[in-house]
Amino acid sequence: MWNRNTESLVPAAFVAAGTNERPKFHSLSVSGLSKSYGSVKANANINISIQSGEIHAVVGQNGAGKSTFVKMLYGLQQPDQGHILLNGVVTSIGTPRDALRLGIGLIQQELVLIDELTLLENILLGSELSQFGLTSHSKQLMWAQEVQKSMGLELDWDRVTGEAPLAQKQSVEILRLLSKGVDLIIFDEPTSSLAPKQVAALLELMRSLRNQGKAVIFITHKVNEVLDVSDVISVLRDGELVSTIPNKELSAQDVANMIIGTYELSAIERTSIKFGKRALAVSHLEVRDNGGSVRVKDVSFSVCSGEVVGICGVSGNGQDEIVRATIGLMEAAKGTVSLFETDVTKLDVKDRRALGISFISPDRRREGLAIEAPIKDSAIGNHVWRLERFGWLPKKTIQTFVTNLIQNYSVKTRDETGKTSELSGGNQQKLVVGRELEQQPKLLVVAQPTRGVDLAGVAAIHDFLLASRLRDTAILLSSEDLDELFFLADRILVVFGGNIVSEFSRPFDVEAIGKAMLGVTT
Amino acid sequence: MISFQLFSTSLSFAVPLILAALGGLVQMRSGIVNIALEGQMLIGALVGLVTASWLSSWLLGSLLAVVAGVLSGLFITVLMNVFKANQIIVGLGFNILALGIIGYILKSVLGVSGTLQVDDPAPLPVLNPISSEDGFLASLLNDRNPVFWFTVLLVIALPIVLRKTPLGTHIRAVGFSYEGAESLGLRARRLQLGAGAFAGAMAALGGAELSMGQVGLFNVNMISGRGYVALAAIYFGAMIVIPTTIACVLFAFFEALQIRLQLNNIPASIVSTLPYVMVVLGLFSSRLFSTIRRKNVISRT
Amino acid sequence: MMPKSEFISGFFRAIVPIVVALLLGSVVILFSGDNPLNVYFLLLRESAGGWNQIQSTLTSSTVLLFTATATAIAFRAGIFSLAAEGSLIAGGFAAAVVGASLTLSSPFIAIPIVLLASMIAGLVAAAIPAALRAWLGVDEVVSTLLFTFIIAGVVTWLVQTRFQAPGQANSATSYVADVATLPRDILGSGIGGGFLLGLLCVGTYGIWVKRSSSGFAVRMLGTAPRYAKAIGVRAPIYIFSVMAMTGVVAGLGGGVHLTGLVGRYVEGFSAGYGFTGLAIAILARMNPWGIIAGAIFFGAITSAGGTVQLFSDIPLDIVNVLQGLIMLTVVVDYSVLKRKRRRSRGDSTISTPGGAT
Repeated sequence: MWNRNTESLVPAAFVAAGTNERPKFHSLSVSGLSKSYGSVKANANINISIQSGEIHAVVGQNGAGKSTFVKMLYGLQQPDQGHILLNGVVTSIGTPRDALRLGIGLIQQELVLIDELTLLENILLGSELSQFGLTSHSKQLMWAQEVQKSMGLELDWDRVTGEAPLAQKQSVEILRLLSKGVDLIIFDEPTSSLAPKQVAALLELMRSLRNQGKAVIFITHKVNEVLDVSDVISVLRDGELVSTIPNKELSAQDVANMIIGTYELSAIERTSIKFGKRALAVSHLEVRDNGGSVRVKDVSFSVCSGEVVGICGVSGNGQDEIVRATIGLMEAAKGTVSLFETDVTKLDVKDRRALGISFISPDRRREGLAIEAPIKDSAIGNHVWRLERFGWLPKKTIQTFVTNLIQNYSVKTRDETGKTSELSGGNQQKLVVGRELEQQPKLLVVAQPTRGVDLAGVAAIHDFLLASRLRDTAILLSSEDLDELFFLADRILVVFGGNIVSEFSRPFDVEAIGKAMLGVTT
Repeated sequence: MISFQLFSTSLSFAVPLILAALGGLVQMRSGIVNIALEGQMLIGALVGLVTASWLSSWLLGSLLAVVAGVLSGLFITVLMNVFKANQIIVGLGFNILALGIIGYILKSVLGVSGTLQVDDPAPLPVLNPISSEDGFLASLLNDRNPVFWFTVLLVIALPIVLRKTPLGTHIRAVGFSYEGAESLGLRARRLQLGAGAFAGAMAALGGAELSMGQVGLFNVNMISGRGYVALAAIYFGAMIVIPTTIACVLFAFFEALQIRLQLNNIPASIVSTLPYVMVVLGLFSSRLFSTIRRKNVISRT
Repeated sequence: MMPKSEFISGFFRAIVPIVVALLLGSVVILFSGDNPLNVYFLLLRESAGGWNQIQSTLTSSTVLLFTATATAIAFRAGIFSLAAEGSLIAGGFAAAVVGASLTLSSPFIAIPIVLLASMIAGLVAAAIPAALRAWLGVDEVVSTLLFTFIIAGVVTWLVQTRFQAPGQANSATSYVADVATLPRDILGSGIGGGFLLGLLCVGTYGIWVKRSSSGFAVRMLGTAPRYAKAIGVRAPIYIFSVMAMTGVVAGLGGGVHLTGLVGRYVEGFSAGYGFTGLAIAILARMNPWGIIAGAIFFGAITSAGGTVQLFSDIPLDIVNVLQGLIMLTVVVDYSVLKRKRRRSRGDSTISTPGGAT
């Protein structure tokens, strides 16, 4: 891979160990690959084959099973059923170390570089070029220049990694993998945070890797990029493989359809009700993350009492931030959030809750509940401010409250005094929903209410949510489960790139929503 | 009145501090906080003095003190790295244990209580490269033992090692991100253990210099907080070698000054708090600045 | 109450380190030519062999009840505060000064005043690191540890300059007035007032943590900080409060130690009681019953060690040896040894259900 004239500079340690011992890579395939987490089937009977010199895209929504698939290829998880075959031979990949030894490399979404070192230091960590025992910066720069010429990679070699753009960090990881002599590189959602020019550069890099005979697996939900660069496309939906088709036979619409699937609008009639006054008004909201990047650009919408407004979109487009800014867990850099004419933008979580806003977090285990604490602690939640008497929590009051909550919301517990973690996912979520709906909130902000919940639990939670409309609760519902949105929402706002790109009313145009979500421009 | 004499004394007092502080600094760079410097210095002070006397060699005594320091450093680092023990408790517990074991052995085996004087101590030799007795250079370079010169070398070499050698970069990488370093293929455990051994060695050498080079005997309370002052110096110097060394010299200056000033009724006890006050003020202002800066970034843009 | 199985496993988790510490301690004892069984027997006899010995043990445990509780309060919120030692010293000093200058006649007024003074002093001593952590995020370990030395220096200076008892060779304040002294014997039971006060303190802590709204908020901050924030807990206020309470309780402990046992503030007032209390809080996993048991255990070692050295040639240092060993053996994660054996058998990692795709 390296040019002849760089060989003299390449330190001995950098030459891939084991490539000589490994047979030439031809193909990697999985057969009948399945994996479940509890009752949730993450991957069911997957059969995919990847050849060397091929860019194979694996696409699907969040929850489709892509990340589980990747973890099994890289030794981070073990399949429950099925096999992985390397060059037709059944192989077991127990740890990432095994994967690397077999020539499989992974560029993860969260990079594992050392932020405080420079890019060059990160690449050559463990194989530094030295002179008289001291790391020779000049030698390393010379080596870097050679790499630049042969790979067409331009990096700010001396830039501190924490401040370097993501695209350059990815290049560092790629270089490290190549130096270990990998034959198959998996890119897990590599373009989520890249600008168009950087995306183009990365896709070009993928092509050059393919042309050198490497195999590339490109995991993503970005349909346009997939059509641009891949040779073969496999579509996953709900843990299953929908199909594997060569790229040239597909159009964008085909792929979008495969990803979303067909939706039969639910036969169950949900009663439509009259809406009340405008409960939530969000106006020109801008939200930034900790690093200062804009996650929500300019969002305005409103929700009336009794109305369910759904927010949908591919994860990472700003829905999370809109939700958190509404409840007060994130600051609004610009814009306002109002509850019934009261401006709550400057208020913290406690004050907003006191005004009648409730919140169901998408991160049930770490934010929705106190997972290691007794069930009663998770049940009390924000009611502690209401139930306390002069700083005291009367035992009877608490006990009654908790027991009622558990009963009213059908939380099935083996032992009411046990830890919250002993409840099943569905029962945990019912507890959260019940806790947040008690006291008839004026506004319920909820994200992913039925993620990881069994079917019966989903039905129960949907019932609770719909029932709360009758008590004048306004609901802001963010969900990646389109079935759920189509069933519950009166209106659906589609978020893409930090903005609301379209708004839909009933009856919902599923195709149009799907396209809007994927940023497909037709 | 600042005389060269005061300056010279400050440098003498600074040597144990600098050694312990730089040892602790390296270990902190590798990602572990060493609260046990005090106990490690105590061990070095005892082992150095006693073995030097037995073997009639200051060199062997110093080396054995270093060995004792290495063993103690490995011991506590294993507890923290392999057994995931809480770093603060390990440090404090070790200090109490060291004090206890040494006191116990002193009484039970050697029959002394608290203070140990050895026959024929082999004191550290002293070099006088400058002929005249007065003047700045004389106060700087005369009357210095080999450990002083080693410390000078250390202060010069350590920054180079940390920043410019592969080893130094690896140690720092482990300190920045243990998992990151491991997944990038470094032997994180070995690096942390090595840094721990180094810290123990330096602290012990500092203690030995104190007993062999300055005081001439051993007392269970002789370290009297220098290990914690070294820790304060590391925080004050933000884990960077030169500022930490300067902090040590500054704190040693306070110590020297305080002896002088006792005549002027400025009490030792207050002066002894100065290093800690300075560190707390330093931490306060640096956090204050970074909080203000962060708020400005978010609201300005 | 905890479920029975958790209580039993917690008990074993506490016993194993102690056994390991005793075994390692016997190595030291053997090395110096003594018989460990003999030493441990003597320690046992002198700590619990008779009513006098038990009283002595309880007296030695008193101050530890306060420092352990003080530290546990902060731990509950996930704050690793080492302020107990400094606040203990400040509280003891304040009690000495106030107690020595009181001219009241009734102990029912004098004692509360003195103890109040010690609590205020403890609070003041802990306030700055508390504020630094709550609002500026300054690491509490460093700030409280270093502040301990600052307080020690300031108190020593105050004793030497302004509050020195006349005619004394060493640095010491005057003895407190009798009216301000805690009774050593409540109702003829032989148990001192200080110990009872300590039990009251631990009990109050136990009830506060379980039954109060602030106790709930603090517990949630410690075990599920994101959940706490999401339900409206205002973290900085609670952080400051628990760190301040550490100061108050440790200060009270200093006051109790002063008026109930020592009588005046002398150099060496605290033999590291703050740090021992820290170890007890961790050993007991912040559980009130565990704190009581731990305080009595460490108190037993201290008191027995003190007597044993009088009539045998076992040095008082045995106390430090055992305490240090216990601190080291307690914080070690023994499950690492089990995990090593399991990993060699090639088990896969455990997945977390309900996570992202």
